[in-house]
Amino acid sequence: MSKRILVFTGSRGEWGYLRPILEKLKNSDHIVGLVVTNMHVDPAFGATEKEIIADGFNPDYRIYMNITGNTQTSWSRSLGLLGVQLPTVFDEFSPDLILLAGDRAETFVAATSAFYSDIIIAHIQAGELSGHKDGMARHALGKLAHVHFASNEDAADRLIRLGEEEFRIHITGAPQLDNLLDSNQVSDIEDVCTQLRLNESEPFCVCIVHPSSDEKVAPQLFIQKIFKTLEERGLNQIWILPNNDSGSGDIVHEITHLPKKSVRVTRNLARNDYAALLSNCEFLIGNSSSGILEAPSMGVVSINIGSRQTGRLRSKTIIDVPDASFHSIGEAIDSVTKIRNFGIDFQYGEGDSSSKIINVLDSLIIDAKLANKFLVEK
Amino acid sequence: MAIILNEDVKLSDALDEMIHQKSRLIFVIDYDSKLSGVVSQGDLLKNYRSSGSIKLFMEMNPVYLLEKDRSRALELLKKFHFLELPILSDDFKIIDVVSIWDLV
Repeated sequence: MSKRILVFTGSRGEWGYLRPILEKLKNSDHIVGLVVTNMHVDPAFGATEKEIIADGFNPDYRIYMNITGNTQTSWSRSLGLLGVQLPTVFDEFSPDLILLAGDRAETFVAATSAFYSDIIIAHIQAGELSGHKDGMARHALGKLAHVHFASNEDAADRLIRLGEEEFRIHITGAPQLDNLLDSNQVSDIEDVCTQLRLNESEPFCVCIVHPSSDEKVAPQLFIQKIFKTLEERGLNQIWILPNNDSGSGDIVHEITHLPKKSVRVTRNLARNDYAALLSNCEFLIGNSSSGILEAPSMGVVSINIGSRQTGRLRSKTIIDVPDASFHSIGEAIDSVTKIRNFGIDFQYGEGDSSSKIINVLDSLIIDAKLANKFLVEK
Repeated sequence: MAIILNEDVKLSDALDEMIHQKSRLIFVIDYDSKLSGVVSQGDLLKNYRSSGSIKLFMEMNPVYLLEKDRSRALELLKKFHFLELPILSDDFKIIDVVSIWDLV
């Protein structure tokens, strides 16, 4: 049955989840609206809606939410600004269902607004574990969502333990892997390296550091350590600037002021370009979930620093460095060559997650049973 | 003539400077006078409505040469179809800007 589906995204990370689903929704009977906000419409974070447009999608609603400043207060106010504007979109589009992904703060605000507007919420990747605030936002999203698309059994089991009713949970895998695992959608590495002024014949690694509220060592302090350790080993470094979150300003400042000799910096990368870099890099280093999900699925080793990804289901190709010391980071880098041949790991799906999600959306019956949530105490 | 501006200069001021100096390229430096990026006339025009600083729009992977490699300037200018190229000291400070018109 045709439904009015509103798709919400605020960051390039989520766009990676949603793009393969939207591609399939184009050929469906559903009426789809796309709302973009936060980093997608903010030049300070690359105004990544241009990637969405280049992918052939035109946002129907653009919400500018970011208040200048780099404090918890300004971020909190920005989230409030989103909450003020989003219900107007709901009024205009009248969605039957809103599709959300991940654990970001603006996604949580979207869920709250939808929940109190009596709109059915379908959420991708509930039930997983992630860093402190992100993790709590993810579980809170799980409480508000009426339909859960879980990446694997581990996440589905956790949703049940957290009191979700089983009929709401669908194990679909993580849709952001769909494009990455489709070799037709990977850019030519030569083109990407030219764009970054990098000699493709020289080894490089991909570095991503995001803010994290529960680290013993502030993530911006990881950066110098990663930089120096890689520089000592003569490895080129491609740094991808973090999402817009509380604390991201310090990280952006630190990265953009690294000496440019072996360092290349990019505000954002098209998904296809990212796939090319990831599949050709020596390893991925930092605290991004990409090191837990994407890299293992492509057979790429990741060095995961700090506690941001603690507790998530992980592959043997991940080297955890909890203490972020020079010594441990160096040891992890030196051990990469030993661990490289563990192969590919499909714990988060095999590239068909978006089809599974579409099947659920097609057959979903929106009725009182779905709309009224109950906590099942275990 | 090459324009060198600090990364916190507002986009509108950078555009004024570009018009005033009749140049199409700005080399952006940080507070230690190290090269952080370049901003082209196109970058400024694409974002002319912004009230932000040029660091938000600059290309963060500028092409440059260290002083010891200065002899490769013409090769790089031709390769990238540039008119100007910064020459840097070992600590990444701009010590000269080479124009293609000086070399051909």
